[in-house]
Amino acid sequence: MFEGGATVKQIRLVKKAVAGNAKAFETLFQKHSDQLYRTAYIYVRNKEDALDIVQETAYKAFLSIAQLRNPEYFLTWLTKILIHHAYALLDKKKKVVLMDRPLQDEGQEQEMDADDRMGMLEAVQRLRKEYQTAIILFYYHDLPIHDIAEVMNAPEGTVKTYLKRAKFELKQLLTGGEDAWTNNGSKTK
Amino acid sequence: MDKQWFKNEVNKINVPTKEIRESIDKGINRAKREKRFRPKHAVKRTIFVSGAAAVLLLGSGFVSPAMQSVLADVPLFGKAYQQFHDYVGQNLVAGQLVTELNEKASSNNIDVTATSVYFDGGIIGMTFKVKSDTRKDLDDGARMIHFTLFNGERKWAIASQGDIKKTEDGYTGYIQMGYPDKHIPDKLTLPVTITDINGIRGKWKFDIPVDKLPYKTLHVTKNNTQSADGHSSP
Repeated sequence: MFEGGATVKQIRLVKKAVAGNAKAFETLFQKHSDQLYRTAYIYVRNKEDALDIVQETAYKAFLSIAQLRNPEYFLTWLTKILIHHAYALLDKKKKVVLMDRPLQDEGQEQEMDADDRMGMLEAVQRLRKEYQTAIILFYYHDLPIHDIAEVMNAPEGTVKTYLKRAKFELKQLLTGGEDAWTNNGSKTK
Repeated sequence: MDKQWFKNEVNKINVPTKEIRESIDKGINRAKREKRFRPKHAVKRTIFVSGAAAVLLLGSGFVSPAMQSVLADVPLFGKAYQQFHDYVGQNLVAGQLVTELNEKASSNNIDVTATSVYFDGGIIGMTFKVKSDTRKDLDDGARMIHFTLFNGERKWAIASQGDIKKTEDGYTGYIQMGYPDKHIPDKLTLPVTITDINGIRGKWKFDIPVDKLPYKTLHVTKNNTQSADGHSSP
């Protein structure tokens, strides 16, 4: 896959980074940082956690960059690491949240500045992890199904199913009433 | 749902540029610090592995010319250990002390079968058969195998090494490690996850049953002679 601006120049930079050049790695990471941060944010919905995920991703990616074999896949590879960390953080949080406060509280807190945008992001966040990832990678990262399958370690057919179901649930969440919201929220969480 | 609309919505998320930059720097710096320490571990590992290998070479018998002919009769994993220059493994194959396995895992249209394992009290070695009828790109990448033991636990990562070689109908993978703890159990289940084969990522999970071979007492006398199968008679 060639990510929009994956030019010859970028590939040269990636190769430098793979060879261990920290400056090249930083430049590359910086270039995609907005997208990576926003992706993390969609999962965790708060700045601190999103920044943590970005930091973990930079750490892990720099440690293992030597293993990257296809320079064109740099961003896809980064995204995979990022999502992995997002999942890990969410899993950790889930345990804490479940123990000391009901999920509804969290929802209300976030609805404070609710508008259309929050509606959409909130809806995405209420989906199953797999659905979230499929939606984010397809709609926001513009990845083809094949690459989404690679990132998610799942067969292409499964990804297509995820997308279809995710779209269906999103539609319900976005158009459905308050009841559908809470019901669906507690079911998917 | 419209892609552009979705993107516009996502792009409304505020980006704290300065803080992101700091986070990235922090991450990279942590990684740099860790990388600097890595060579040390590598040296330690080499000493440990080669030391253990030397000790065990004595423990599990001497390499004898007769072994070559014995190995020729053991076509499957005997050859594999030969390919990876694993003398401990070769010796044990000759003595029929290697456990045959048949544990299969598939991912991304690539089948991996764990074929054999041994544990002589210090070193664990195992072989895998890698085969794919559909993934022609298996030949494209550099010959490499990535794996984790015990979900990536550090001491195991440090103690282990892997390799992969081409065979007539696919590849043979090979993982070897020095047992990283002082206390050596008689039995263990070793969770191995292969994560990358020749650049193709996937998840091939195995739980390898490992049985330690009994220790043998060697009485070394002046007249000690070697028996044909490479083991000294006690």
